[in-house]
Amino acid sequence: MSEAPAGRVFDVSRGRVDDGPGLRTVVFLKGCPGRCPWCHNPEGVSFAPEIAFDATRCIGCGECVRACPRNARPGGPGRWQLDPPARSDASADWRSGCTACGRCVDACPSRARRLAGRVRQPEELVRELLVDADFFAGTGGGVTFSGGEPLAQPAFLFAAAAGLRRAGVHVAVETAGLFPLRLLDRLTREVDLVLWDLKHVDAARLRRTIGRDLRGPLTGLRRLSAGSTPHEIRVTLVPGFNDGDEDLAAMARWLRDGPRAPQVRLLAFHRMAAAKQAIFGRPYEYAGAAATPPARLAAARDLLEAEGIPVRGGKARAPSPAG
Amino acid sequence: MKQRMLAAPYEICLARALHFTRAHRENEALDPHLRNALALRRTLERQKIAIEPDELLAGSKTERFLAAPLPVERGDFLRSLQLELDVLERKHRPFRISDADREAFWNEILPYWDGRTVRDRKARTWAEAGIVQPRPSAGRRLRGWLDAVRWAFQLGPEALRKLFGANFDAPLTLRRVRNLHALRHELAFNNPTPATSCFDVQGHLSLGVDRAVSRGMEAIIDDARERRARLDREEPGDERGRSFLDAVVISLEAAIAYAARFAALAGAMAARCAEGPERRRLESIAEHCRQVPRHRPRTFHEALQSAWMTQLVGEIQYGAHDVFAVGRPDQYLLPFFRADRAAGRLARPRAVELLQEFFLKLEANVEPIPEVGMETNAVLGNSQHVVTIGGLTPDGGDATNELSYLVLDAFEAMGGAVNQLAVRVHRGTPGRFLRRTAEVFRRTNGIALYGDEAVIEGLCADGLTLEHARDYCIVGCIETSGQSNTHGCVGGHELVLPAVLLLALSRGRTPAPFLGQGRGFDSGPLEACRTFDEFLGIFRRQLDHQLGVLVAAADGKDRATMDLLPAPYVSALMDGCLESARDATAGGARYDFTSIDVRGLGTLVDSLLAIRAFVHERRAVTLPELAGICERDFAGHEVLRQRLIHEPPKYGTGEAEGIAMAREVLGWLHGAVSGRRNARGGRFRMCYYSYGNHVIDGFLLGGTPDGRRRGEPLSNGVSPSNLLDSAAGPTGVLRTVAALPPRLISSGVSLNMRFFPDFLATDGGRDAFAAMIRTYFGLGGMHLQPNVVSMETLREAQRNPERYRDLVVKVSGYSAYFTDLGRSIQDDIVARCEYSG
Ligand code: SF4
Ligand code: SF4
Repeated sequence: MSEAPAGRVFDVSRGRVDDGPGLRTVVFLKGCPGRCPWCHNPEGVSFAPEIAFDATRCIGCGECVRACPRNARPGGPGRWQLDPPARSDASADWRSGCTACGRCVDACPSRARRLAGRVRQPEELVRELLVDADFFAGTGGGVTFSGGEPLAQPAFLFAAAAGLRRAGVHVAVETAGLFPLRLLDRLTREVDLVLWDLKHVDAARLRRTIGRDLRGPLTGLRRLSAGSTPHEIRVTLVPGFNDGDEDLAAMARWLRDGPRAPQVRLLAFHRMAAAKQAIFGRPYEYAGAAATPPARLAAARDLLEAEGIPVRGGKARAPSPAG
Repeated sequence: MKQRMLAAPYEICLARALHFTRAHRENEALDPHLRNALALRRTLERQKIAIEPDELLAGSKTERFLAAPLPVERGDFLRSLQLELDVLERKHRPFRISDADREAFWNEILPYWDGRTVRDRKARTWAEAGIVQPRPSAGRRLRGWLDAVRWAFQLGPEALRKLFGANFDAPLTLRRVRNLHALRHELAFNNPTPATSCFDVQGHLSLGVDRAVSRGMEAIIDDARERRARLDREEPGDERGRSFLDAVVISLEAAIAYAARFAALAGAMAARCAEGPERRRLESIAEHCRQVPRHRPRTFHEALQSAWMTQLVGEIQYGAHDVFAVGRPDQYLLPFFRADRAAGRLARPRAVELLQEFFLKLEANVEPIPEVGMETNAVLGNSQHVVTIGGLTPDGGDATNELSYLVLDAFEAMGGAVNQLAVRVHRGTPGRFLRRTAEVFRRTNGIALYGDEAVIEGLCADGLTLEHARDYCIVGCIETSGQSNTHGCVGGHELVLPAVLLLALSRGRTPAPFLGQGRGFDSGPLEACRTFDEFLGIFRRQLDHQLGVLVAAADGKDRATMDLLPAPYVSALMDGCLESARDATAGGARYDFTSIDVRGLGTLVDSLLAIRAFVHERRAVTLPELAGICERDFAGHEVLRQRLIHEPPKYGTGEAEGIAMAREVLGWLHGAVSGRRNARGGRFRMCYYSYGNHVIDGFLLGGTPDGRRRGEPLSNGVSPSNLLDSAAGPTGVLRTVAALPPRLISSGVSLNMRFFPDFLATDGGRDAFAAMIRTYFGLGGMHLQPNVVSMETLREAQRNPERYRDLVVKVSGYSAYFTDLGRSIQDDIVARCEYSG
């Protein structure tokens, strides 16, 4: 196990109930090959570590500036004591030159800075996760790997999953299927539950929006459905992308053609990721989009069910907490 | 009925106060047991009664719809009324009082009781014991005022307004200035030191409603007569025992006669009524009130009538507000419910309706408390008549039954208006019951969960038999008690741990004794301690001193109560009192304890861990420096403050350091009092909860080494501090609290956790929640108060309180209407961190 592959994790969130059965800890792996503009975890997209900066916690002490070896002026234009409002200046320029070495994070007394994408060893991560083993066992819960695209770091993912399962912990993986199909067999063998994000069934549409050919994921989902690994198909209603009646009808038809009755969970689009714009210094295209109204969610559910697709849920889903 | 209650004005009714005053004046020469029984009888014979429209259970505590009996003879209340009478109408939620009552208070009640209350007697005892100075020197007085003024300046007007509410804005008339001056020093007789309080009441207990219901009061009267005959034969010299037993008979007969007045009134009203449902309602009330509480009830409806009458007479006798819990109604009402069901006499919806009315009546209990309390205490719904359901039977079986579910139904239908539902959970609690509980509290809030295994372990360590321990119920807010056999004195003896720490850090100087108490205790110079253990030695010296003061203070109060205010009616229903021929206030109950409420555990543990890390491990700052920085509220040391908050190990994360330190602290406290006995010979028990007072404490205390600033709240109950990042999630908190040993916290703890409503929105979420609770209790958890709220709702409710009159929020152990809460506790609720990630 000594050369177990390290991975990048951008968050670990405990005590959740909406990412699989029971009480769960969700591990967010950093990096995703896709580029969905509505992504609710924008910090999970890039594979490189990033510095999150929460201006509301910053006390303007300047410790980060003194600690930075790159003179990256972390956190703003260096006017800490003089002009506190400048702290809310989230313009990206301070990040130029930043190598995400994390020294300013260690120096920051108020946890205003956070390193999203720490390198973790699987054994050490598993040890941390196992503190909640009682609660996993007691509630039928476990650990869910999410992201980003967790299968973009397969060696790390499978090493951590194996460690958890050896300790009797239920492991789920949430994926958009953006991974080489050869990994699918391993996925179905080495985890207990797959949560598959289905974005659209129209491959051309996907390519236009996400910048990738998503026939792979569609094929993957078909294969997954044919196998015996428990799985759930999750559909987030994205305004103007997949929430139209025709989009949903097409999805229903596609699902109906599958090898067996699918389990679908509908999730509402929410705007909480907009709060992360300032924190990661990156604009969010969907900041102006409205959250899915409950009526729309219910209508989508009716539509799918009318097409013979059983639907679960219909609730908004929370982004990774620290933002 | 609920709507009527929400809309009704709060009123002050002085009928009881007047009758008690006159009865005491007339019977001064009599034994206090008899004097108190006669005062009760006079009130029950003479106070005006009414039967409200649409009422199914008859009986009223006062002459008004929404008012509480007022215990002028105890003292606390006399003083707060004296202070509050001028601002009643300006309160956050105004109280009405008639001019005649107002006059009676100033001219008859106050002059009679001044100098005669339990509190006055207590004050004399305390002065004799040197706990407080009765007549402080002019210098001490002046210093007290200067301290008070300095403190007021440090806090600033905004915080003061939050703290004193209407009293802050009221104009200063001459009478008010005089009152304030007189009362300020008198507050010292509630707060012997800045870290302790000892109030005039003896605290909550489980009234023997179950005994009255199961046997009927006449059977208990027969027991008392028989015991009296035996006493005459065996101990003819026991005057006190004889008076007590006579007082028991007088009190119970008065209760039966009070019910008979309602029977007569209902009969007369029925006679004036045309044939129809209204007439039938009144006739059945008349019939029920003739039967109960005198005899054993014949039906479920009569059983509830009996329970209610028994309870309300208890309140009139005892006077003190909110003292009695009603035990385990799903157990003692069950035979009547089953018999009615078997006979086909009772439909389930009717049973739910009757339960609802019983609960609403328990809640219709309003009392004008000083505005200082108003910030944290609510009014309507602030009743502590806890209803306990579920759990184990005395022989160890599952006690959950069909009535337990109906209690939940009733609770749900009322939207949680009754604030106190205690749901006991043991290993064998049916999953369906737990899920149903989760579903109900998602809609209502106001349910607290108790882990039977831990509670029972604690009670057995206190000396209860296993059967009695399994039959426990909850009293007060969250305190554990045997059912109608325990005089537990819970509530009213308080210790604020972070204040003890600050006293240790300042050689007794701060917090300054600005109520005019004596000088603080010097536990030794900080400069001398080189190791953390040496500092702990100083801290423990201070702690032992404070506990010593508190124990002595409680002793004075208990002796005063024993001499002046026995409680024969309450004792009649309490196991052990007839047998020993002693009143509960004189140690007659089967089990007797004094419970000490300890606040700020999380803040203290975090502070100690911070001191260890920064002073003794890293040597980043010396102890005297840190003490000075805290005292100056971290001015110029914001970086250090942030590090103190974020870098040391913490209480509530599940980390071993936090757990170990907390257990050590609990052990010190337990050890310091375990060898002592109260005035009645009972033991001391520890209870960790704060019923909102951690917010007030926050105003009174300067900065603490955990990075908390002056004015910010302390940690609540055994919950972690508000400063804790939520990263450890709910499981970190639950694991920490479950690791606290039950025998050290046997009187109860309060753990509040707030959940997003959508945590429980789905079956899966509810199942996970139920399983999480089982796991927590399986690990040794004792209590959990889940709150389901959304931030938006709360903010909106702050902006538009009128639209959110029925929003129920729990504040450590008791719930209240959110809009009745003062602003700062509202803010505290909003700010408490979210655990659902
Ligand atoms: S992460 Fe390193 S390079 Fe980037 S701002 Fe912080 S200290 Fe500078
Ligand atoms: S170290 Fe932290 S608190 Fe200080 S200026 Fe930098 S970001 Fe702000």
